[in-house]
Amino acid sequence: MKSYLTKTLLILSIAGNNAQAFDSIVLEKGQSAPFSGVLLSNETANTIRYQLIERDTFEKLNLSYERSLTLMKGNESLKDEQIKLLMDSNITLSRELTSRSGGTWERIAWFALGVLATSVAVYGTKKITN
Amino acid sequence: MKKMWGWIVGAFSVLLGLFFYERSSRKKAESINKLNKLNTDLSLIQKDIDANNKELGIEQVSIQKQKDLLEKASREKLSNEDIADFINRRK
Repeated sequence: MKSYLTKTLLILSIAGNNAQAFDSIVLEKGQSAPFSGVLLSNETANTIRYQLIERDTFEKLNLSYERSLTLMKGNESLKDEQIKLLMDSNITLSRELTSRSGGTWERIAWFALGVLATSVAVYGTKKITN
Repeated sequence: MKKMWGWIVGAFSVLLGLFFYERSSRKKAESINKLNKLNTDLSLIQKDIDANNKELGIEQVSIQKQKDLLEKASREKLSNEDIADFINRRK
Protein backbone atom coordinates (compact mmCIF):
# COMPACT_ATOMS: atom_id res chain seq x y z
CA MET A 1 0.00 0.00 0.00
CA LYS A 2 2.80 2.35 0.98
CA SER A 3 4.77 1.50 -2.18
CA TYR A 4 1.70 2.09 -4.37
CA LEU A 5 1.13 5.50 -2.77
CA THR A 6 4.78 6.50 -3.31
CA LYS A 7 4.64 5.49 -6.99
CA THR A 8 1.43 7.45 -7.51
CA LEU A 9 2.90 10.55 -5.89
CA LEU A 10 6.05 10.24 -8.03
CA ILE A 11 4.08 9.98 -11.27
CA LEU A 12 1.91 12.93 -10.25
CA SER A 13 4.91 15.08 -9.39
CA ILE A 14 6.64 14.31 -12.72
CA ALA A 15 3.42 15.04 -14.61
CA GLY A 16 3.06 18.29 -12.67
CA ASN A 17 6.58 19.38 -13.54
CA ASN A 18 6.05 18.65 -17.25
CA ALA A 19 2.83 20.64 -17.28
CA GLN A 20 4.66 23.57 -15.68
CA ALA A 21 7.56 23.33 -18.14
CA PHE A 22 5.20 23.91 -21.08
CA ASP A 23 3.31 26.84 -19.55
CA SER A 24 5.27 29.33 -21.62
CA ILE A 25 6.22 28.35 -25.18
CA VAL A 26 7.42 30.22 -28.27
CA LEU A 27 4.99 30.39 -31.21
CA GLU A 28 5.79 31.50 -34.75
CA LYS A 29 3.26 33.59 -36.68
CA GLY A 30 0.55 31.37 -38.16
CA GLN A 31 1.53 28.37 -36.04
CA SER A 32 -1.38 26.70 -34.25
CA ALA A 33 -1.38 26.95 -30.47
CA PRO A 34 -1.13 23.62 -28.58
CA PHE A 35 -3.40 24.88 -25.81
CA SER A 36 -5.67 27.86 -25.17
CA GLY A 37 -4.14 30.75 -23.26
CA VAL A 38 -2.97 34.35 -23.58
CA LEU A 39 -0.81 35.50 -26.46
CA LEU A 40 1.46 38.46 -25.75
CA SER A 41 3.58 40.58 -28.06
CA ASN A 42 7.33 40.61 -27.42
CA GLU A 43 7.15 44.18 -26.11
CA THR A 44 4.37 43.42 -23.63
CA ALA A 45 6.10 40.23 -22.51
CA ASN A 46 9.30 42.24 -21.96
CA THR A 47 7.35 44.80 -19.91
CA ILE A 48 5.80 42.06 -17.76
CA ARG A 49 9.21 40.44 -17.34
CA TYR A 50 10.65 43.79 -16.19
CA GLN A 51 7.76 44.28 -13.76
CA LEU A 52 8.37 40.84 -12.29
CA ILE A 53 12.08 41.62 -11.83
CA GLU A 54 11.13 44.98 -10.35
CA ARG A 55 8.83 43.32 -7.83
CA ASP A 56 11.51 40.81 -6.83
CA THR A 57 14.06 43.62 -6.50
CA PHE A 58 11.73 45.72 -4.36
CA GLU A 59 11.19 42.75 -2.05
CA LYS A 60 14.95 42.31 -1.64
CA LEU A 61 15.49 46.07 -1.27
CA ASN A 62 12.81 46.23 1.39
CA LEU A 63 14.50 43.41 3.28
CA SER A 64 17.89 45.15 3.03
CA TYR A 65 16.43 48.46 4.22
CA GLU A 66 14.73 46.74 7.14
CA ARG A 67 18.02 45.08 8.13
CA SER A 68 19.85 48.40 7.78
CA LEU A 69 17.27 50.10 9.97
CA THR A 70 17.64 47.43 12.65
CA LEU A 71 21.43 47.75 12.55
CA MET A 72 21.22 51.54 12.76
CA LYS A 73 18.87 51.32 15.73
CA GLY A 74 21.35 48.90 17.34
CA ASN A 75 24.16 51.40 16.74
CA GLU A 76 22.06 54.18 18.22
CA SER A 77 21.48 52.27 21.46
CA LEU A 78 25.18 51.31 21.63
CA LYS A 79 26.19 54.95 21.19
CA ASP A 80 23.73 55.92 23.94
CA GLU A 81 25.38 53.34 26.17
CA GLN A 82 28.80 54.81 25.38
CA ILE A 83 27.57 58.33 26.15
CA LYS A 84 26.07 57.16 29.45
CA LEU A 85 29.35 55.49 30.47
CA LEU A 86 31.35 58.59 29.57
CA MET A 87 28.90 60.88 31.38
CA ASP A 88 29.02 58.73 34.53
CA SER A 89 32.80 58.73 34.37
CA ASN A 90 32.84 62.48 33.86
CA ILE A 91 30.59 63.04 36.88
CA THR A 92 32.80 60.79 39.05
CA LEU A 93 35.94 62.59 37.90
CA SER A 94 34.37 66.01 38.56
CA ARG A 95 33.35 64.94 42.07
CA GLU A 96 36.83 63.61 42.85
CA LEU A 97 38.44 66.74 41.47
CA THR A 98 36.18 68.96 43.57
CA SER A 99 36.83 66.93 46.72
CA ARG A 100 40.61 67.00 46.15
CA SER A 101 41.20 70.56 45.08
CA GLY A 102 39.38 72.61 47.80
CA GLY A 103 39.34 76.41 47.90
CA THR A 104 42.24 78.86 48.19
CA TRP A 105 41.39 79.75 51.78
CA GLU A 106 41.22 76.08 52.68
CA ARG A 107 44.76 75.60 51.33
CA ILE A 108 46.03 78.59 53.28
CA ALA A 109 44.41 77.22 56.45
CA TRP A 110 46.04 73.78 55.96
CA PHE A 111 49.43 75.45 55.32
CA ALA A 112 49.12 77.57 58.47
CA LEU A 113 48.10 74.48 60.46
CA GLY A 114 51.17 72.65 59.15
CA VAL A 115 53.46 75.53 60.17
CA LEU A 116 51.82 75.64 63.59
CA ALA A 117 52.12 71.88 64.09
CA THR A 118 55.81 71.91 63.11
CA SER A 119 56.51 74.84 65.46
CA VAL A 120 54.73 73.07 68.32
CA ALA A 121 56.65 69.85 67.62
CA VAL A 122 60.01 71.63 67.54
CA TYR A 123 59.17 73.67 70.64
CA GLY A 124 57.94 70.58 72.50
CA THR A 125 61.01 68.53 71.59
CA LYS A 126 63.30 71.32 72.76
CA LYS A 127 61.36 71.71 75.99
CA ILE A 128 61.52 67.98 76.73
CA THR A 129 65.18 67.60 75.89
CA ASN A 130 66.33 70.66 77.85
CA MET B 1 67.42 61.17 76.17
CA LYS B 2 67.89 63.68 73.31
CA LYS B 3 68.81 60.87 70.95
CA MET B 4 65.77 58.84 71.91
CA TRP B 5 63.37 61.73 71.26
CA GLY B 6 65.12 62.35 67.98
CA TRP B 7 64.49 58.73 66.99
CA ILE B 8 60.84 58.91 68.07
CA VAL B 9 60.14 62.12 66.09
CA GLY B 10 62.05 60.70 63.12
CA ALA B 11 60.17 57.38 63.18
CA PHE B 12 56.84 59.19 63.57
CA SER B 13 57.61 61.40 60.55
CA VAL B 14 58.59 58.37 58.46
CA LEU B 15 55.41 56.51 59.47
CA LEU B 16 53.29 59.57 58.67
CA GLY B 17 55.00 59.89 55.31
CA LEU B 18 54.46 56.18 54.56
CA PHE B 19 50.80 56.45 55.53
CA PHE B 20 50.15 59.35 53.15
CA TYR B 21 52.22 57.73 50.40
CA GLU B 22 50.25 54.48 50.69
CA ARG B 23 46.93 56.31 50.69
CA SER B 24 47.88 58.31 47.63
CA SER B 25 49.12 55.15 45.81
CA ARG B 26 45.90 53.30 46.64
CA LYS B 27 43.74 56.13 45.32
CA LYS B 28 45.86 56.31 42.20
CA ALA B 29 45.55 52.54 41.65
CA GLU B 30 41.76 52.74 42.15
CA SER B 31 41.54 55.54 39.57
CA ILE B 32 43.66 53.55 37.10
CA ASN B 33 41.46 50.48 37.60
CA LYS B 34 38.31 52.52 37.03
CA LEU B 35 39.82 54.04 33.91
CA ASN B 36 40.87 50.62 32.58
CA LYS B 37 37.37 49.23 33.19
CA LEU B 38 35.83 52.19 31.42
CA ASN B 39 38.19 51.75 28.46
CA THR B 40 37.40 48.02 28.28
CA ASP B 41 33.64 48.69 28.34
CA LEU B 42 33.99 51.38 25.70
CA SER B 43 36.11 49.20 23.42
CA LEU B 44 33.64 46.30 23.74
CA ILE B 45 30.79 48.59 22.72
CA GLN B 46 32.93 49.96 19.90
CA LYS B 47 33.51 46.41 18.64
CA ASP B 48 29.73 45.87 18.45
CA ILE B 49 29.34 49.16 16.60
CA ASP B 50 32.10 48.19 14.15
CA ALA B 51 30.44 44.81 13.55
CA ASN B 52 27.11 46.57 12.89
CA ASN B 53 28.80 49.01 10.54
CA LYS B 54 30.39 46.13 8.65
CA GLU B 55 26.98 44.51 8.18
CA LEU B 56 25.55 47.87 7.16
CA GLY B 57 28.28 48.13 4.51
CA ILE B 58 27.34 44.67 3.18
CA GLU B 59 23.66 45.72 3.04
CA GLN B 60 24.60 48.91 1.19
CA VAL B 61 26.54 46.89 -1.40
CA SER B 62 23.58 44.51 -1.76
CA ILE B 63 21.17 47.45 -2.23
CA GLN B 64 23.42 48.97 -4.88
CA LYS B 65 23.70 45.61 -6.70
CA GLN B 66 19.91 45.22 -6.74
CA LYS B 67 19.50 48.74 -8.10
CA ASP B 68 22.09 48.06 -10.82
CA LEU B 69 20.34 44.81 -11.79
CA LEU B 70 17.00 46.61 -12.02
CA GLU B 71 18.56 49.34 -14.12
CA LYS B 72 20.10 46.71 -16.43
CA ALA B 73 16.76 44.84 -16.71
CA SER B 74 14.94 48.05 -17.67
CA ARG B 75 17.26 48.52 -20.66
CA GLU B 76 17.20 44.86 -21.82
CA LYS B 77 15.00 43.72 -24.71
CA LEU B 78 14.90 39.93 -24.72
CA SER B 79 13.91 37.63 -27.59
CA ASN B 80 10.76 35.49 -27.45
CA GLU B 81 12.83 32.40 -26.57
CA ASP B 82 14.59 34.20 -23.71
CA ILE B 83 11.32 35.52 -22.30
CA ALA B 84 9.74 32.04 -22.42
CA ASP B 85 12.85 30.65 -20.75
CA PHE B 86 12.71 33.36 -18.09
CA ILE B 87 9.06 32.63 -17.28
CA ASN B 88 9.59 28.85 -17.21
CA ARG B 89 12.66 29.16 -14.98
CA ARG B 90 10.88 31.53 -12.64
CA LYS B 91 8.00 29.15 -11.92
